[in-house]
Amino acid sequence: MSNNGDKKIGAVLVAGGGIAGVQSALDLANSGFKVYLVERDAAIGGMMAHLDKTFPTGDCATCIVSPKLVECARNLNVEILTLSELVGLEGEPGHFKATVRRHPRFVDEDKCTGCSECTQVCPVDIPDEFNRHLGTRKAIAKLYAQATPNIFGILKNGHSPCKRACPARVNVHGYVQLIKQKEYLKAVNLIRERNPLSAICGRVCTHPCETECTRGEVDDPISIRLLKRFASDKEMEMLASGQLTLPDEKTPGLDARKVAVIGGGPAGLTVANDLAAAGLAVTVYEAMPAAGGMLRYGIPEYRLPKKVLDHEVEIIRRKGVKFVFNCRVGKDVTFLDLRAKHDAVFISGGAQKSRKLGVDGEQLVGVVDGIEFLREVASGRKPQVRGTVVVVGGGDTAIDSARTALRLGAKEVIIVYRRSRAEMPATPSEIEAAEYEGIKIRYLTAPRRLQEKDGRVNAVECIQMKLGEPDASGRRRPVEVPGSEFTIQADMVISAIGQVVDDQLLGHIVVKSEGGLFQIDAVTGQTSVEGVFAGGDNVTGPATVIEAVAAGKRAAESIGRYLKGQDLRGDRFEDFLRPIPEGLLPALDKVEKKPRAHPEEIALANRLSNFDEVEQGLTEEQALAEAERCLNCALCSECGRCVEACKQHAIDHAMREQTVTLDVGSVILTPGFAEFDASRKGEFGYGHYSNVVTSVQFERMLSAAGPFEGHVIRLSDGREARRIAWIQCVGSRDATCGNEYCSSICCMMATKQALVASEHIEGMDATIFYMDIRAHGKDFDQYYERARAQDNIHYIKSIPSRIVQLPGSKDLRMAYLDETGRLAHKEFDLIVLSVGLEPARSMAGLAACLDVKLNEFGFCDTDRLQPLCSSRPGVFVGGTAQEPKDIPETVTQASGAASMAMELLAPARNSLITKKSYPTEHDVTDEEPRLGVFVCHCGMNIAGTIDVEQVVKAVEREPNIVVASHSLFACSDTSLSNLKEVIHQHRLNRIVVASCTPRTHEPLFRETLREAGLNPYLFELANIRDQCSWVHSAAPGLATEKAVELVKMSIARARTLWPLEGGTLAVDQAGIVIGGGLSGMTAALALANQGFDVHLVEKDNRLGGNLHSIHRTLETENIAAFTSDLIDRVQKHPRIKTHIEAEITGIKGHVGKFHVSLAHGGKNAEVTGGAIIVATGAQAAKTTEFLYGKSDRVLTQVELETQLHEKRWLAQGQNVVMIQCVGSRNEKHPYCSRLCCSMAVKNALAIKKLDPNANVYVLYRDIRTYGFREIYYRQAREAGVVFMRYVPEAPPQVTDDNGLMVTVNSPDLPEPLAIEADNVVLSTGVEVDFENNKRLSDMLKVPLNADGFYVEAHMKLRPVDFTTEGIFLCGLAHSPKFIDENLAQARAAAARAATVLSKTHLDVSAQVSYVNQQKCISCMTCVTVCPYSAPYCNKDGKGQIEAAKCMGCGICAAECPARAIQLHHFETDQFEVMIKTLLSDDREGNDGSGATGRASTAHVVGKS
Amino acid sequence: MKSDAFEPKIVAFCCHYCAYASADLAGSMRIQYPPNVRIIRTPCTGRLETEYFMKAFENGADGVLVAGCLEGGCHFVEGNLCAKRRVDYTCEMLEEIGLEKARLRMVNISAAMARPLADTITDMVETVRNLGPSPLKSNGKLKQESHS
Repeated sequence: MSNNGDKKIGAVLVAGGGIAGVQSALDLANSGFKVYLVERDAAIGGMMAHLDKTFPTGDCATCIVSPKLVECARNLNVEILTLSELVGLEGEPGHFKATVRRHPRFVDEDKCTGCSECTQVCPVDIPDEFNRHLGTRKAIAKLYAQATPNIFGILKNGHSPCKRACPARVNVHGYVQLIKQKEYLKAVNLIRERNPLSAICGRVCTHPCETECTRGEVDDPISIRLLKRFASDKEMEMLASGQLTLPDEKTPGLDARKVAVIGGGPAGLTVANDLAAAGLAVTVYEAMPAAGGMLRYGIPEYRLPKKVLDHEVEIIRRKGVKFVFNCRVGKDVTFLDLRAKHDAVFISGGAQKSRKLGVDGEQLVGVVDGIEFLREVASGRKPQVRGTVVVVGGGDTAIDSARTALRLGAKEVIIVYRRSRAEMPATPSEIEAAEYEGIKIRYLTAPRRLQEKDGRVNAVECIQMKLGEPDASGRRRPVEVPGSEFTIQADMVISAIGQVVDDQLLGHIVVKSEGGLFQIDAVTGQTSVEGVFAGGDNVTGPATVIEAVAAGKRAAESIGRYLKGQDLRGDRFEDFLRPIPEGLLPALDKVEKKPRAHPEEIALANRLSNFDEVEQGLTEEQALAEAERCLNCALCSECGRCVEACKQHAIDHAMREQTVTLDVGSVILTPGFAEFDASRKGEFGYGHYSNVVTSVQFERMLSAAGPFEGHVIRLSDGREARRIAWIQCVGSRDATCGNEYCSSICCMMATKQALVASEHIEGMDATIFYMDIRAHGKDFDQYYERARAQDNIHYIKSIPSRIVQLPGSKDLRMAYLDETGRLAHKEFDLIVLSVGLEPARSMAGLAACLDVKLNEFGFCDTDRLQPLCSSRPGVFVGGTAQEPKDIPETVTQASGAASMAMELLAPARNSLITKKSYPTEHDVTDEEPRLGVFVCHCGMNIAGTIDVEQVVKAVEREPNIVVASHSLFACSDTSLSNLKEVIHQHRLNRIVVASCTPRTHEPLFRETLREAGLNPYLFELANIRDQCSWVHSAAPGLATEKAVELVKMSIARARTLWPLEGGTLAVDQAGIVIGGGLSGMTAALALANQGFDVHLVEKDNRLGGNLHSIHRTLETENIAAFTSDLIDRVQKHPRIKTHIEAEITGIKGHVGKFHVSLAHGGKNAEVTGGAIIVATGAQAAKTTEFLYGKSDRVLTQVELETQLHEKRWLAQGQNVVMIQCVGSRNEKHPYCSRLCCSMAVKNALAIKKLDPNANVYVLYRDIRTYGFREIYYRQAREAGVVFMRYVPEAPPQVTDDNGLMVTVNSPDLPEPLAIEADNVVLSTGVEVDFENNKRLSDMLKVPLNADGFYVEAHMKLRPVDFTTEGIFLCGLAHSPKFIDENLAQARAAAARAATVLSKTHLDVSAQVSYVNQQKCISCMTCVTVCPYSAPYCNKDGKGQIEAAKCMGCGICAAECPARAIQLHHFETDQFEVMIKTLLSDDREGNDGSGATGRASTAHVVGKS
Repeated sequence: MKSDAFEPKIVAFCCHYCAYASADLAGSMRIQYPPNVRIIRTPCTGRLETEYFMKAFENGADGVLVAGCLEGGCHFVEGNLCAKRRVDYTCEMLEEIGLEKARLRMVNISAAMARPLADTITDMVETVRNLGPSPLKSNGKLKQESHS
């Protein structure tokens, strides 16, 4: 850690925003480093945000984690990058370049106010991943209700297959969802964004979308075409009934650029529509007397009524399109003329000419061309049709001609087609309809000659065909079957074998053509002539309507760009159309099958004599059910409802992924863990049986904020679950799934869940099936014993075998081998699988990007003596990414990792941090209150229920109100700037905002006050949203009344506010570490490496403590070398002053400045420092049990280890019996010493290594080799070490009457077993020097627990802090733990101390208590009640409060019998004025006596 | 304006870290409860003086609810236990002066317990509705009259 001028970067990237990342970020930011907190999810909080309660304290997880998250979001030096992942890291420790990929949120983080209007209109329900699929969420949502940052985001999954299958890329998913919401007009408008021919395509589209529909994999595709028709028909119905009127006719501006469209078919209409909408002057030149092309003159009326076509043409026309009919280009006007008069031309003349049959007799009377035939009919003329009609061809024109002929009076219609049904190009449903109507189709039949009689055709001579080799079209070529000729009598023959482009058109237009078709650029649609574009059938040959529309869309886009002189190619819609990523489709096997809707059709009898539309639309009921079948496989449907709902214009569906590069000095990895996928253990039926859930799902069930609001129900029937079982070690301690390690937390989690559930459910009965109960953490065993003592919680040591669901009741029958190995069964309502912890799914990728080594299980590989270091220098690791662990250890490691980064980057501290400066505060002390009241609509969140204007009116005449107004969003940037202006303009000195909750928004408004030169304490927030409009939306009148009262209360309180100034206090930037063992030395080194002077105080005559008696660990052989190196580094460090054999005789002072008096061999000294770290340790417990001290063959584990190390043990013998939990987990020492099981395993393995023939027996209660230590437990069993369980009620007996003998009565054995022992080894655990701790804790004024260990500020989230600021804790003084855990904890304490020591001055909160010295009666009640030791007896014998220690709870103020104490900002008169104001209106209303005492409440309280 | 039915007026003191947070969560979850309750925020229920409860009744409250953190989960270690003591003490006093002690209630609510808070409020409103208007309302007035 040299400080040789190489400039290190004072910023750290923390990868992972769970509790570990948040802790690292806060420690770093609060000690002078810039932090980038990179989180993959949409909000920070990680797994902890999912939890209901935490063990062993029963704290609500949300209560304790939320303030940390909010603090993180508010910290100026923490930049939270959500939806982001670290994908690359280059450079060296101290100066890295980190590459971060930022996924789009589709919501502008700066604009979103979190108002939730968007989520209320979103039609898309998708499984809620946060609630582990118990329930659904909207596609636009917050990750969870209290999410930080408090903003919305959209989940997208590429583009749906339906949309991608549509040639015009119509947003099918979107309009289906809008139909589901009955937003039919919005649906039609969405369709028209990509296809102006909505009603038409709703009838005649070939719907490739349906072919690709994901629902098709479940049952049948969604009937998309008919949904489109349904929405379009609704629009027409509304027009017809006058509910809707067509938009006004537009005319293009005089200066508009001119575009000619040749041909008014679907392609031409699309171009005209889009360009006219863009304001261009479009003229359509159409050869026929009306628009529509083949839509009008090709498709018969019974499929597409003319009024439908007219309707959509009219909508297009009203956009300002001019139509010139009966104008054939090449005849009535020349192309060159058009080209000259217009700025651009689009050619879509279609393929209007029929192909000739090419057989003899084609010229005969009675032989007509299909296109001509249909055109005649469409034009209103009725061609003569009689007798038998033979139609030649297999396309839609052939079918249309046949069905039309039937309607015009043909007796019989026969279609002849030269290939088979499979090759027939006509739409299958059309073929079916034709057959249904009685039309015969002769496949593999080709005409050879038409025969004549009386000048008319009278028969078709045909030949049978067979299918040969595939031709150029890929279809099998029909080949004549020789000698198979036959004749069909025919009165009329219609030829419909295909269409081509009219060569007249081709001849007149000067663009390049080939094979009778115009040549265009495939991307732009431009022809060989600049400014001339083409599309539709005259480019592709006969194709579908939707393909023509797509061609029109493409050309319209190009023409628009061309006229603006823009690039025609880049950034096309197609370019960013991504498919749904593989594997992200919904679980199709779980979808309930529902039939597809089929429309009604006109009965056969009623259809053949007319041209009425055959197919009827869907009914509304059918349409809604059909839309409901959509699987939302793309998640967000991009229907646009959120865009429309968001008043802040924060939503942007076009956002793209970004990559940013960050300069950082160090990286901390905290990606957390993933839950084991329970479906991998098929025997438990997860995923098949609805009443089998995972422990995380159960946690969400328990959560009052979860999907069932805390009700524990069976998913099968919603009934409350009474008989609940937990199966432990699902995916842990299990080599079959690759997870041999123990997940460390599940035993406690299940115990907690059982305890919490018993509070939720009356009469609940819990059964926990376990292997060993691992309650190895601080105070865990006591918690476990509490659960065990409950009658309704049963622990069964067992091997679970399988679960079977009982038919009918869906109860679960569990089979297991009990402790004696017998198969047993039990039935339950609900079974919870305690799923193990696996590396985060992102871990492998992250490690690869960062070049960081993973261990065999995929966790970050670390050394037990370097627990916070990854394999890459400068990259540190914390939390479950390193090994499964619980919250306190996670938080500890996170702080420890922060210390590692601080040590690395010490020279760069404070180099990149931001400090905000504010204008000088305006002095308001002598001013009358001048109030501004601002009422927020919060979009519709408040205004939708509360009459905001009425609220303003009701309060604007209150005394002292200078300004009262309302705004859409009080917290938007504009409103805040406006607020500052209004403050200046009206010289306001008190501000009331009526909006949402002060918990999230008070800091923002206070900040604005500071920016406007007002003291932030002159602000008051009335919560009329979360606590009024949202909870009383059913009673808007009463809600408004209540809002008025709440605002009046805030106004009354605001009048009494005064400016408050928090003080500062100077910091003595040196640390004091008490205890010179492993933890103390490590903490001292960490602080010294960070550049702080350290006093290390040790009462013994040497440094090292317990390390001297540890020779090896499970993983490491040579601890002695480690110890001597550590001592050496401490002694040589220039910043560490070691005080050996020093007794602490007194401690005074507070955070920032502590004075510690020392006695050194008779001499007294004093050291000072701004922070104290307590690392006083503990030692191996002593015992007198089991003949210890009476027989020299009875040893402790520590003694055995020493003997083994010194090679003295070898001669001792062959039978070794180890007894666990000696003096632990009993009434005297109720705690588990955590280390002893691993220590026994370690020594047993060492013995087995020395002498494989030695017999080692371990008599245990639960083997607690948690985490990766489990591997050694397995190794010991494999090495032949015998583990035998005993219960505390029947402990082993050790006798030495005839040689050393151990008798054990194991529940695993049928009868007691006596073992002749050469050695008995006792695992005696860890205990503290109670007297010493008591003395020190009294001086420090910090608490000890009943076992003599120090009590931290909060077991979960402040594991190394004391409630007293500035004093920190680590090592065995906190609780028993291993070397690696002590190392991490010592560094954590150093990081926490650095948050104090890194500052020259500390800010002291202004919201603190103060004592009125005149009123104080010197009773010192305050000194007794304060949990923080803030009050003290001053030199006058009066109570006084040390502001630096005060946390602002006000307990002292309430307890003070003389009422001498007040809490700033929560003063008695402020409470009283609120109470009075709230209730005064009521009295007014009741007795009509008018305003009582209101004026008297309007006084200013000066600062005393 | 005023309907004949008695609508109780209830003042609720909620601590910033737990009960107030759960009241906000009830909002996010759109849980409906009667609008008869008005919430006053306090840093900790330990800040609340016996006097405030009495003041509320004197000024016409029909009921007072005190909502703090779960026992053992107080942000300020044991402020909620201090509050419990004071509430119990006030209840005794209320009884002495002839006020039903059900009009003052203390509950422990975590920041995630939105539904239980709403249920408590609903139940409190019902309880107080059944008790009828606080007798102190008229007493208070009588007192004023006799003093004037």
